Amino acid sequence: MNPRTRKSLGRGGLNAVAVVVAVIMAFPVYWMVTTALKPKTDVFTRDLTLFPTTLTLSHFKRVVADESFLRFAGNSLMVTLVVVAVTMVVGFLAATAMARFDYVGRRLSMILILAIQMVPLEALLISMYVMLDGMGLLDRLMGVMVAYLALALPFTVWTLRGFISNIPAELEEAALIDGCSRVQSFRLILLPLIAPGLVAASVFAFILAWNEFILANVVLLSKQNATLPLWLASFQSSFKEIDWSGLMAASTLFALPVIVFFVAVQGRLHEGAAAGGVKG
Amino acid sequence: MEGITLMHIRRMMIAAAATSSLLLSACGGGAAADPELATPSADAEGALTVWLMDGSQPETVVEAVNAQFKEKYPNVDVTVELQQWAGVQDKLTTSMNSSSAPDVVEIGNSLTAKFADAGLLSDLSDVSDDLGADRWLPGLAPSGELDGERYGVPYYGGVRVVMYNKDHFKEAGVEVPTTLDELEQVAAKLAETKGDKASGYSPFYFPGKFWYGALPFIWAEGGDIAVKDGDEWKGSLDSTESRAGLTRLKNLVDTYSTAPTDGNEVTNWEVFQEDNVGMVMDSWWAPGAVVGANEAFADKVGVFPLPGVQADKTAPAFFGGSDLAVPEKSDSRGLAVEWVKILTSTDIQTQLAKEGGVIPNTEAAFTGHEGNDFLLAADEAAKVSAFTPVSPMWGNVEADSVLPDMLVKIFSGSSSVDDATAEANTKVAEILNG
Amino acid sequence: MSTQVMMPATTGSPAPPQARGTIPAPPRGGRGKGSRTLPYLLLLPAAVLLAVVLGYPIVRLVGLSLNRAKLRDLVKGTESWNNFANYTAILSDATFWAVLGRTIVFAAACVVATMVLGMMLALLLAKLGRVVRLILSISLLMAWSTPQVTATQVWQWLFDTRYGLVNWALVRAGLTGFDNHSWLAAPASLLTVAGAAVVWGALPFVALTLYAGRTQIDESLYEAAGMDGATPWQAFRSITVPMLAPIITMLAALSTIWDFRVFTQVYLLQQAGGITSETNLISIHAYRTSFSGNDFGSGAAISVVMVLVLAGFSIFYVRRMLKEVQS
Repeated sequence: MNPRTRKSLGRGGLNAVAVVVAVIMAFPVYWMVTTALKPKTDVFTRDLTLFPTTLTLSHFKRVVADESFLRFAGNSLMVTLVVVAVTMVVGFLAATAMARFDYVGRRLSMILILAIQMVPLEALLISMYVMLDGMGLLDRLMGVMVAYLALALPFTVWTLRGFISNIPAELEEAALIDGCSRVQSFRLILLPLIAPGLVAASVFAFILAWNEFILANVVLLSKQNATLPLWLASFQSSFKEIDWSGLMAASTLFALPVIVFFVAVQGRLHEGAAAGGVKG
Repeated sequence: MEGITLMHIRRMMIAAAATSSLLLSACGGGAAADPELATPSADAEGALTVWLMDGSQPETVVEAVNAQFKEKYPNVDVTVELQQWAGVQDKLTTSMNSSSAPDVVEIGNSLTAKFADAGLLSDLSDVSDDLGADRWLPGLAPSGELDGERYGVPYYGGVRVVMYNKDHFKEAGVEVPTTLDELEQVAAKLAETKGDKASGYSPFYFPGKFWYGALPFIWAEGGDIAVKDGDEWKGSLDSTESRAGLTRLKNLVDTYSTAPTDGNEVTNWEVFQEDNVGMVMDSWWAPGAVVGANEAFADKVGVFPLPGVQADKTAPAFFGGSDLAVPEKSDSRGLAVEWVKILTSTDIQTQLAKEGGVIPNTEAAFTGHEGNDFLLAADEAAKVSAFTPVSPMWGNVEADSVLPDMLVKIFSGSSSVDDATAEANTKVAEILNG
Repeated sequence: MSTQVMMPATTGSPAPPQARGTIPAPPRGGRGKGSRTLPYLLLLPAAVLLAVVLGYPIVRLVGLSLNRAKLRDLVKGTESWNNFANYTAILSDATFWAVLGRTIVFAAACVVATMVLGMMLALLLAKLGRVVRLILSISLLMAWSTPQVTATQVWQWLFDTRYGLVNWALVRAGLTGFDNHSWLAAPASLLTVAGAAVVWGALPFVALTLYAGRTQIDESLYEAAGMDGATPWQAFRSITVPMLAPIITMLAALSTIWDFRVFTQVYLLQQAGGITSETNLISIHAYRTSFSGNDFGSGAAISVVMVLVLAGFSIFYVRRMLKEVQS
């Protein structure tokens, strides 16, 4: 067998493995979507079928018929985008300090950033509520935004620090010696290299802000300020029969923007990776 | 911060308006000891925020209440916010203890005691006669009471009933049982004609975690979860009576149920539609849901209250439901009481029974169920009912899943009835005496 | 092996002396002082935000844990110092120790599974062509973006005793013993299903992040190693692992924190089956104590203990991290 065939066989095998993994990972999602498309009577049945043939869009139509859906989606989008943008900037600055500078208190700041993430949000719920109340931020999108910023930030700093310290400082030094300004060296050298890290961190922040329920539930009191997770909760909380099909349809719609966001930033990621590349 | 100031000014204005109207009515000779709860005069101004649970009532009921309220208090703006059950405990705990406390809240009635004990709810004892205490269903009233004071006004309730398959009953030649012994005989007959457990047919379907369904068996024999003895709670799950009830249920489950011994009751009404079940206990709304989802069952579904040991008395049903309460930190408590008064009045309750399909807070409103056999059977079951121990700590017993754990151990056979009840009994007493 | 010779320069483990102090002060005058204050300026926005938003709640949490703070006390403002009673009560409670032990085993299993599978997925992603890689990435992302509550619900359905796809498929495959098999009845089985749901949800982030780190590594390193006759496994050990060390440390630390705090997956499965008292994890225990149990003092104390235990486990990561920093 010549090396070329072996290589293409290897590639074929990897592709097969990748497809199998993709199917396994996506299966629960597939099940969610098909449940949303099935007639209600087909959800709980002992005659299961992997590929349902009787499909209906009625559950999707029903869940978006609620006129407040668009309003909630708008609120969620605004909160999420602000949180992502601000966390990335603020987080990047702090991560650069931790990865690139030696300063008094550096270790302490790093330990604190890690330690903050150990505190469960549920345990802070009441005091956060009292604090936001005191700041006049109850029932305002600003209130949850500020909170999500603080929740996403430690993670972002922690992740970006990992990525920045992965890049040899010599690269930037070389650029500086070559006569690049600090800004140029940042834009041309550092940014493309940490782009993958920024993508990972921003998707994380996006999902955090997009999905958060516990705090939104207590802070956003009136319907006009509600975000999508509160809307989602309305499908799973009833003392009467639970609207499973509605919940699955709503969850499907709910997950879509994350995928759109990812695909959008993923394109950037490849541009970035192509522009840079660590030459050891 | 502009937001703060504006909000505060608005609140102060409302408070001032409320106080002045209170003064007026106090001069008119209001009887209430807590002056803030007295009936405000018709020219009272301000805003009222009401939190009801989503799904508790149809919109028409809220509209009807608001229309009546507007007639009485034309200068008060009412905002009704529908809350979701998911996360509502967190939301109530935080908001009722803040400056943004709503003026009226709906609370699941096993939690009223907890919030009352914490000092979050107004003591409504002085106005309870005015609210119609004498006409409330005796099964619903106790949940809103703590240490002899009234905090929660019964809003509506719901019970578990037995759904049965009329066709199967006809095939087996059996009638609706009137005692628990008869129920066992009916199950045996069904097994004979329709098939036993091994064949996949379930004469009596009962999943292991279904403690709302198990309690009536305990109560029917005269047992209970715990009883208050002075200041002390004494567990009584290990009493002869409680054990007799659980043993009877275990025999039924062992012989006649194909349900998972560690499962919950959420899909009971779905299982019923498999046409493989003779009898199954479920919530009062379930028979209607079965027919709604599957028209083929319109003539097949029958409902009866779980019978008792003797034919003259059905087994006491667990009477869950909701209470209405006025947070202590509300700034319009007088108006809040007025709003609650309208929602719990007999004519609105009749409308709620008819359009919302729940069990109203007074027998006089059962007329709203006329023509609906399922709901009439539920009303029948509700007439003989019981409740979980009214203690601020009860929520812990539920959160720790003491009862479902006990039942699962009994039905799966990992513990004997005696051992499982003894263990649960200790836990219940420990938690309630906190 | 010659690849090893290359490592110091690229990973930054014992780094050459001139790399110390990282970016040297530019040759222009007057900037030296700026460099000393610059890191603090960079940290300032983050520090202010965290201090303002999380400072008070965290201080308050510690305060609550040291006081008698039942719901009633919070309402009436009657919290009072109780001589560490919350802590002594927790630490002398056998249930707490059982829950803690169970949580540690559960979290450890989840972290190991997540990291190993995540690394395998990342390497797979790196080897794939554009199209298949996008397919796999999107499938990972679909798993990541599904709301946790919904995802857990679907997992519960898949493993449902009566209506579950897993039992259905096993019975079809001839394993009739799985007809009506309860996957939640045995505590270990319930926690395994929960753990699978946790790992499934965490894998996308870990895999995509490791893959992102992998794209930072210059391919010429692997080419050089290949030319030196290194096997893929040797190349993985001598290039990939050391190059990704900071990211691996970071992900392992995060996974440890997250998996130690797992709540939703177990909580929802407990509603569907099994025995609750034998499957509780520490976050559920803390939540039940404070919110359902009205005892915010004890709930806060459990949270503090939880953070301390986590901190104990994280010492390993912190030391690694500080070592990386030192170089």
